[in-house]
Amino acid sequence: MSKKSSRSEQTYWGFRTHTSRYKPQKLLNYLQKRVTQENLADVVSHVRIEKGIKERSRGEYYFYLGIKTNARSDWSSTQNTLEQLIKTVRGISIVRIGREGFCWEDIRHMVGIAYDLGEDTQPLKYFSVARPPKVNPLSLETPIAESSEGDRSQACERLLWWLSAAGSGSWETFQAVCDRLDLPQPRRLLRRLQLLGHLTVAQDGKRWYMQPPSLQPVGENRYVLYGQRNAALQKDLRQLGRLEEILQPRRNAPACWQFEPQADVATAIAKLQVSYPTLTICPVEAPPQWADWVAGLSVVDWVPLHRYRLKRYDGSTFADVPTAEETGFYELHEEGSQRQHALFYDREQNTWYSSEWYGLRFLALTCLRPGELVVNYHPNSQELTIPSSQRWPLAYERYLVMQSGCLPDYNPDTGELIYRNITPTVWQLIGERLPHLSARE
Amino acid sequence: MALCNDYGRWNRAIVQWATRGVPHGTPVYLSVDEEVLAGLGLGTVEDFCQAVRSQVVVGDRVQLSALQNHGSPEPAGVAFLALMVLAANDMMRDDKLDAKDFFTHFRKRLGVSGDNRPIGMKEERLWQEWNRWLEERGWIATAKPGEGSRKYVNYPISQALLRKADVQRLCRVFYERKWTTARSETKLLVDLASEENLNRHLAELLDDRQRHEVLGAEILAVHQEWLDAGCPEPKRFSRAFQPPTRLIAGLYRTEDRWGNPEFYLYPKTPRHWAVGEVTVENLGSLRSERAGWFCPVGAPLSARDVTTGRSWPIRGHAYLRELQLLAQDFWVLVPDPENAESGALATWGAPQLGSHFTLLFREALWPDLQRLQEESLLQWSGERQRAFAEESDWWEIQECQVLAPVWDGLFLQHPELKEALQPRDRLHIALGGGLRVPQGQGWLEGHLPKVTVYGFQPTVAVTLTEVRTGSIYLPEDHRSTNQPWDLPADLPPGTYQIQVRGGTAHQERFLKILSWGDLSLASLE
Repeated sequence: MSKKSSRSEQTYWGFRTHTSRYKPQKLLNYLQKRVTQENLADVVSHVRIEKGIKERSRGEYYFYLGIKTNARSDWSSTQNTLEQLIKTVRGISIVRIGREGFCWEDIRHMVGIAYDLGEDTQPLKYFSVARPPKVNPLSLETPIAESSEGDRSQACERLLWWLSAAGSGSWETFQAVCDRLDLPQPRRLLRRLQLLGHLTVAQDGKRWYMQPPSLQPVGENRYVLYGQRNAALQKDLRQLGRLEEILQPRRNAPACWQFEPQADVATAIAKLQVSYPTLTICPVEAPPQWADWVAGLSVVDWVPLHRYRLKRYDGSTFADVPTAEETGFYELHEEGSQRQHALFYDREQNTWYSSEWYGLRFLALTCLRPGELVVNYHPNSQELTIPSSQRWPLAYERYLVMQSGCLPDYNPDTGELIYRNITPTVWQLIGERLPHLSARE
Repeated sequence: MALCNDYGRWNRAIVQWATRGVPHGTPVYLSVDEEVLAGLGLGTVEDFCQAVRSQVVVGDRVQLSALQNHGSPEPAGVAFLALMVLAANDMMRDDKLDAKDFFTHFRKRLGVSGDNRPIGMKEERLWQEWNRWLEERGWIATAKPGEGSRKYVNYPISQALLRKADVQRLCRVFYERKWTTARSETKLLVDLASEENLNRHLAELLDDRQRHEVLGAEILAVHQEWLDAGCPEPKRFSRAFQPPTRLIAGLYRTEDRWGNPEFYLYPKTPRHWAVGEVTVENLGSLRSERAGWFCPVGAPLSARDVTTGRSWPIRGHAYLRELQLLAQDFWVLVPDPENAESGALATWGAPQLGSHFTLLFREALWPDLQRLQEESLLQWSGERQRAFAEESDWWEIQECQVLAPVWDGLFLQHPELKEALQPRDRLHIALGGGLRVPQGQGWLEGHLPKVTVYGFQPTVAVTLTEVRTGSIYLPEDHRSTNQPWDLPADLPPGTYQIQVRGGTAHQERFLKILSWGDLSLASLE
């Protein structure tokens, strides 16, 4: 509705006041109260008072009531009620002017759109707020940021301190803090922090939860600290032993804090627990059996397929498909939105599943290339390598990463990820839990 | 000099009473009266006066030096200030406001004869310390000096909210108008504003829009107590400082994975009362989220829940009986004041000048909203959107912003909408961007916020002062309103006060800057 047409539907009743004491604000307050009491807000839409009256010493001024004559069927009784309402204003003489009423054009030059009683004002301008794009935290940014972008270890350390002070929060908060610290690709960074055991994320990706400060044994009297940390804990660890800060291979995550206590670890922990009561030795949980991992995927009750363009993973890339007819890993793209979804469709069950991106891709690969999932183990160097194109689900990859507290190295020549400090025991456990692997020693 | 044990206990209890359950970013009033003091469980009102007397009275003089900069976790002068508020309540029983009269009542409470300002009264520092303590913790301080001879007397007067006579008058209105079902704060404020027969003090309180947030909560508490008492005649109702039986819920809005809005119950903690463990039938235990609020609970609400309102029984609690979502025609959802980037919107409070908010409303309010837009009072982004997937008359408009201060001449069919949206302040100091310390306790060095002063004048004068040293970083600097500007980049960690003056309006805000080394570890549940 345009401004002009809406005003043309109403008429204005004009009045002149005679008083030096009855200030406009008092009149407005009175009218406000009486219009509400008489339930006339559908008839009297607003009041406009003559411009510039505060500069004048005389107490006479004009005011206009915006009246909607078609608001009530019984107009004559409404008119009487309105006239009575004006007559009952105590302490002021009010005279109606122009019995026929006025239109907006008649009065617009003598009244303000926004009459201000206190002082000269200017309205605020409407402004848009730049919000971060709404993205699905379970999907990932592509391509992966190159390592040549510089050393972000310190900014990542600050991020971890901030998260430790917050305890938990929403995905959007995480995204915003990364933005403030100039850390790109927050979804990938969130996954890296999960791999390093610092935090966990709700199944739908909406919230993150810091882990309490904990020690993971990684060798003889050597422990990796994961979970919450800050400057005070850093200082305390240095006082109780040797704290080595090992930078991550691509400098895109907080350094690994490897702690060697001076005395026995029990004494060190007892001292630390004075300030950090929840700090304990807490070896990282082994990953679940593959069947349990699959059973634990969260079911998506309803997918509004009509809103999305579908792409299906064919083992190497995503290709457009008209509909989801086959079991597989799908990306759902919405026109004009960055919120894309990655889901797994099981045709037999006619069910959609949600999980983190690499997990679903691995699941798809177990269907598409059941015999081609490769893993190499080198017992002498205690290294485990897998093709980066077959990256494991988070729970399994975290188990590997936590053996050293360091993210995998990437070999660009072979396209492989290299995990270190993998003992034969760990290697054996992995073999039991992930049955699809074509393992080579 | 140490605090007397009795005085210390009263002081701590009063600080807790004044701040418990009050959300950060909202005003705190030291609005104690005889019922409040008697209800603290430490003794009678006379015991309280005696404790203050023993602490500060020496002969016929007042000795306040022991209460200043005491180093205790809370300001040591609060119990003394509470006694001043008590005297202000005594003075205002007959709607009289006379500085001399105040000191008559004050001396009587203090047990010192006379009718003038006692020797040794240097209480302004105590008020300032209390104000600063509140602001540093994220609340809005409200104690203000007056003009001329009322300079000091105005501090306690500014703290008095509902007195006994006001409560009686309110109950008379409730009884005569038959307000026998639960109502929202906004509805109570609007309906009371059109009442003719209010006493002067109550009418003045209702005229002061800056106090509406707190006043609404206090009136709601009185209304609830009156409902709980079975809606008695006014003469049979006496406020016995009873804890509330209901928890009131707001709304918490997020979006599902497909971008559709979801609304959750967002229970408020009661003001002034410790609640401990609360278990709600079908919803489970409530977890405390922040000052004034529990965590959102339950499954997303249906349109029907929001339309008709709903109650959930509370089991096994000492005094709480139900959690209630009131039926309202609209809800104002603002970004998280402690973490604007979280993406969540909730009923955290009234929209601040210059801030954006989302309005959830029923179809019947659409004409009023269109009128506000036509009058250039309110603007929003895009078209209105359906708020629920199911069929309903609920809509949303997003990124709403109030544009002008002059709403007085406008009559809406739903005056509650005007009460909720009309700006309460003429100036607002917004701090945006930068990196906040979690839990809203300031900003981190090197990541300072930008300052925007929203107001209806082209420029304002800004002063930036470091609180402890008094060093002035911006002396009366003139800045454009509604434009973000940077703080001096090299501000070291500390507490700063930003003062803004524009015309007759004045605002101040505290800004705390912490170093990275100050970050502590959150306690994890």
